[in-house]
Amino acid sequence: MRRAVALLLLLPLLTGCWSRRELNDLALVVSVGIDLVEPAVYEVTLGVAGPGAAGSGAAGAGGGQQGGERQPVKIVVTERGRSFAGILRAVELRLPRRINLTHALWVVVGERLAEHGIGDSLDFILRAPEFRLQGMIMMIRGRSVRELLEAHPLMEALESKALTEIAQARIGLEMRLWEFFSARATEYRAAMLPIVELVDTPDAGPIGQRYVAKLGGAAIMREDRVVLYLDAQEVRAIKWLRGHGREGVITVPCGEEPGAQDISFRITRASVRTRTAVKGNRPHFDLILQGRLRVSEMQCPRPLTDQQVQAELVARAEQELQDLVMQVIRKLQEAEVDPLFFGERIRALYPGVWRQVGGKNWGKTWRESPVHLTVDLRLDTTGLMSDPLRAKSGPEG
Amino acid sequence: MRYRASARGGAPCTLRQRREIEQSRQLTAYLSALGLHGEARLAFRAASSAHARTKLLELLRRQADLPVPSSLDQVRALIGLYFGQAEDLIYRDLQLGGGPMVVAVFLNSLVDEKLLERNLKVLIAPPPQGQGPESWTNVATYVRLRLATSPETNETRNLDQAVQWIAEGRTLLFIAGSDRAIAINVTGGPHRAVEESKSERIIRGPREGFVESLQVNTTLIRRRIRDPRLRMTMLTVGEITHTRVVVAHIATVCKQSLVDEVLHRLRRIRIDGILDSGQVAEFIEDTPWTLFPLIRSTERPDVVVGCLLEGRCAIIVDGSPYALVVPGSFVDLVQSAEDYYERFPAAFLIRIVRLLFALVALFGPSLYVAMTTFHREMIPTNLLFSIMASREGVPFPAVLEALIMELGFEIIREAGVRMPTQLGQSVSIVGALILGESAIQAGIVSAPMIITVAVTGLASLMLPDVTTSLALRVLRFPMLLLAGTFGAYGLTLGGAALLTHLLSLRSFGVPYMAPFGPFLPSDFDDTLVRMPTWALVRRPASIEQTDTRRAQRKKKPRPPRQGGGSSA
Repeated sequence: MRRAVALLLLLPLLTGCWSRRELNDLALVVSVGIDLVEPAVYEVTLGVAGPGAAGSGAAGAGGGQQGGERQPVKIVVTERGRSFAGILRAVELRLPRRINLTHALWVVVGERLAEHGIGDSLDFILRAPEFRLQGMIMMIRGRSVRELLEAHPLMEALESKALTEIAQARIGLEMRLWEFFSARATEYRAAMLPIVELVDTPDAGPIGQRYVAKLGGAAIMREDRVVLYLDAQEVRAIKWLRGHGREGVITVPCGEEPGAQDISFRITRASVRTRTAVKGNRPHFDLILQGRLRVSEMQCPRPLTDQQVQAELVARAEQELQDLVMQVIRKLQEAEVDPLFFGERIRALYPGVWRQVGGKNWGKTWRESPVHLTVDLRLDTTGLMSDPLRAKSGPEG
Repeated sequence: MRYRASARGGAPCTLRQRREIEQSRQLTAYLSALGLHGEARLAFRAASSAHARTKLLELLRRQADLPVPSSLDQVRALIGLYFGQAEDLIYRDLQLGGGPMVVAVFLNSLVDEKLLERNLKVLIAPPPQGQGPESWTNVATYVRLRLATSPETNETRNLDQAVQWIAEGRTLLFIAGSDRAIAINVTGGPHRAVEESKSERIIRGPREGFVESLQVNTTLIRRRIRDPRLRMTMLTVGEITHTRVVVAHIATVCKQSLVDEVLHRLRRIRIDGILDSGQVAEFIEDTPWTLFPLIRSTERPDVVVGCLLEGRCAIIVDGSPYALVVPGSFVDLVQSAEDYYERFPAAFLIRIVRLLFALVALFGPSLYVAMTTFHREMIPTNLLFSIMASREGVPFPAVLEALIMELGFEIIREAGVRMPTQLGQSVSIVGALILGESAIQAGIVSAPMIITVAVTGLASLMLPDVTTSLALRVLRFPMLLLAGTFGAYGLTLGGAALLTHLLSLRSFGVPYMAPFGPFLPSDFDDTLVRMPTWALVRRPASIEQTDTRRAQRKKKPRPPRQGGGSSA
C-alpha cells in the first residue's frame, strides 16, 4: 500500500503529456502553404479551421442550429520571415489560439519556391513531431499560395479536404509527404509534386468565385528544384508506371479509318512489371504493362461482337498507351530525372554496376538506358451492351 | 425473609411486584441449590431492581452449563429472567396424559401454531393401555416418542441451550420432575414468496430467485440437485443474531480442502450480527482491499447449481436473498445465466460485447478526455471539427466537463434506485433527458461529452454482475483524473496498475484472472466463447475438482449412419 502511494506520488515526475490544451484554445491548421518571396525570405500561409458559425454566436443560442452549421470556417493567415518556426511564432502573435499542426495534412509549395529550389525550407515539417507525414504535398502553379488556400471548393468545406480527396480517388497524382521526402533524401531519386491549378470555370459561380482549384499535371524535381512539367495526360502514364493505372480511361478512334468517332475504354485492372538487365554496365529496362479493359463508350457503328474488330480496337488502345508511356519516359530521360525509381532496382540487384554508374551519375546513366515497353491489354467486357445501336444488323439493314 | 420491595413500600400490592418477588425467590432457590451463592444473593435483590436482573443474567450467561431445573416454577423464573417481559413469549401449562405437568414455552411470533397445536394434542391425550405413567422409566424419552408427529425434536439438559432454542423459534417442553427439556421444531412466521430475481433478469431460463428464508433457499437448490451427494453444512454466525449459514457443495466434485477452508473462514467470524451475505463475504475474502468482488453473489438458484457442478462451494445466509459462490473469478463478470440457455454463437457475441463495454465503462470518458486534450492527432480531422464546433463556448476544461457529467449521471442513477418505485422511472428518464438536453442548450457541456457519458453509463449497466459494475463505476473517476492530467500516458499507467492489481488477486486460492492470468487454454471453452453444451466435457481447470469429467466425449448430435444403426 505504501509502495503504491509512493509510486503514485512519483508519477507526475515522469515524462508525460504535458501539452494539455482544451480544444477551444486551439487553432487547428489544416493546410500549410510555403512560397519564396525573395532569396531566404519565405512566406508561409496557414489555413486554419476556425470555430464554426454555431460556436461563434452566443453559446446559449447555439443549441438550436448546431446541426446545420458544423462546417468549420476557414481563416487564412500569411506571414513572412526567414524560417518556418519563426513565422509560426509571429503568426501566434496574431491568432488568439495556439497553433496546432497535428491535422495539417496538406502542404502546398509555391511555384517560385519550387523553381528556385526548395532547399531545406521544409525541414521543419520533417522535424516537428506534430506534423504527420501521411499528409499530401502539392504545388500551386500560376497563382499564389494564398489564393489557393482562400479558394472555396465545390463540395467540401475546406480546400485541403477537397484536393486530397481528389488525389486519393486515384485520378490525380497522389503524393504523400513521406514519399516526397524519401525521394528528396537521395540524389538519384527524383521527387514529384502534383500540380494544382486555379482554373476559371462557370462551375464556380454558385460558390461566389470565378475559379476552382483543379488537380492537373506534375512537376518533377532534380535535386531541389523543378526541371520538368508534365501535363495531366502525361501524369496518367506516371500513374500507370507507379502501379495505379486502374480507373483510367483510354480513348482511341474507332472508325475504319481514324476519324472523329471514338471508343473509350475503362481500365478495370492494371499492373506493371519491370525487368532489369545489365549489359556491360548499361542497364536495360523491360516494362510490361498489363491491363483489363471495359468498353465504356463507343461512337461508331462497328460490331463489337466481331473478334477482329475487337482485336483492332484493343490494338489501337495498346498503341495509344505505348506512345504515351514512351513519350513520358523519353521526357524523363532527357531531363535526367527518375521519379519512378528505376535506379533503385539497379542499386538493389546490381550493386557492382551501381557503384560505377549509379549515385550522382545515375541521371546521366538513366538518360542512356534503353527502355523497352510491352503493353498487353485485354478486353474483359463490352459493358452492358455488345454492339452499338447503329451497328445492329436488323431487317432494315 | 425481608424483601427490599416490601421494606420500602409495605406489602407488595401489584401483580407485577408479586411476580417479581416470586421470580426472585425461585431464582434464589435454584442458584443456592447449585451452590452459586454470589449469584443467589444477587437474585435475592433482583426482585426490585432491573439493574440487578440484567447483571444476574450476564453472570448466568457466563456459567457454561446450568442445568434445566426440574421444578416448573424455577423454569418460569429462569425464562422470565432470560426473556424479560416478552409479549410474544407464551407459557402453556398442560398435563401429560395421566402424568406430570408440562409447560410449553415458545415465541408465538416464530412458531407455526397450528402445527404446534397438533403436537400438543398428542401429548395431553391419555396414553394407550399398558403404557401409563407406571411404565415410564424416563418421562423425557416417553415424550419424545409421543412426539413422532413433530418434524424434529431434540432434548437438552442445558438451560442455555434451551433458552437459545426458544429464541430460535422452537417450542420447549419442560417436564415437572425431569431435568431435560424437549424442543419441538415447528417454526413458522411469514416469509416472501419465491419470485423472479430482480437484479439478474434473463429472458430464457428458470425465473425463480432466492428469498430471505434459508429454508426456501436450500429447497430451491435441493430441488435442482436431486442427489445425496449434495451436502449442506450448517453453522451459525453472529453472537447476537445467531444467523444460520449453510455451506453447500457436491461431495464427489468439490475438493474437500475447499469446503474445509470455507468452513474455517466462516468459523473465524466474530461479530454481533450478520444481516446479509455481503457482510459474510467481506469477512472471508482473500484480499479485503479490493473493489472487485472476489466472491460471486447471485440471486439465482440455477447459477448456484451451475457453480456447484463446476466444483465450487455455495454459501447461503439466512435472511439474505443473495447466495455467495466461491471461488469467484473475473470471467464471471461477463457471464450471465442466459448464456447457457440460449444458442451458443449468440452467447459468444454477447460475451465479447460485454467485455468490450466493460472496458468502455471503465475508460470511455477518460479516453475522450485524453484524446481531445492531449492527442488531437488521434481523432480523424472531420470528427475533430464537429467536436470542436460543439465544444466552442463550453466554459470548462474537458476533464471538469466529464466529471460534472459523470457525477450527474451517478445522481440520476442513484436517485432512480432509491426513489419510491412509483417515482423512480420518471426521475431517471426526466432527469437524463432534461439534464442532458438543457446542459447542451445552456452551453455548459458539449454534445459529444453527453454521448460519451451516456454510452459509458449504459455500458456499465450492461454487466450482469452489479458489484463489478459498481467497481468499474468507482474506478472510472481516478481514470478520468489520470487522463485529464497525463493523457493516454496516465491512462496506460492506470490501466497497467489495474491489471497488475487484478492479476495479484486470488479467491480461495484460485487466481482471479484465470484462465487468462495463469494461461489455461483448456478453460477457454467457456470463458469468452461458450462451446455447445455437448462440447463442454471438462469442468474448469482453474478450480480444482476431485472429478473433472462433466460430460461424455464425442456426443455431438448427428443423424444416424445409413444402414448401420445409430452411432454409439
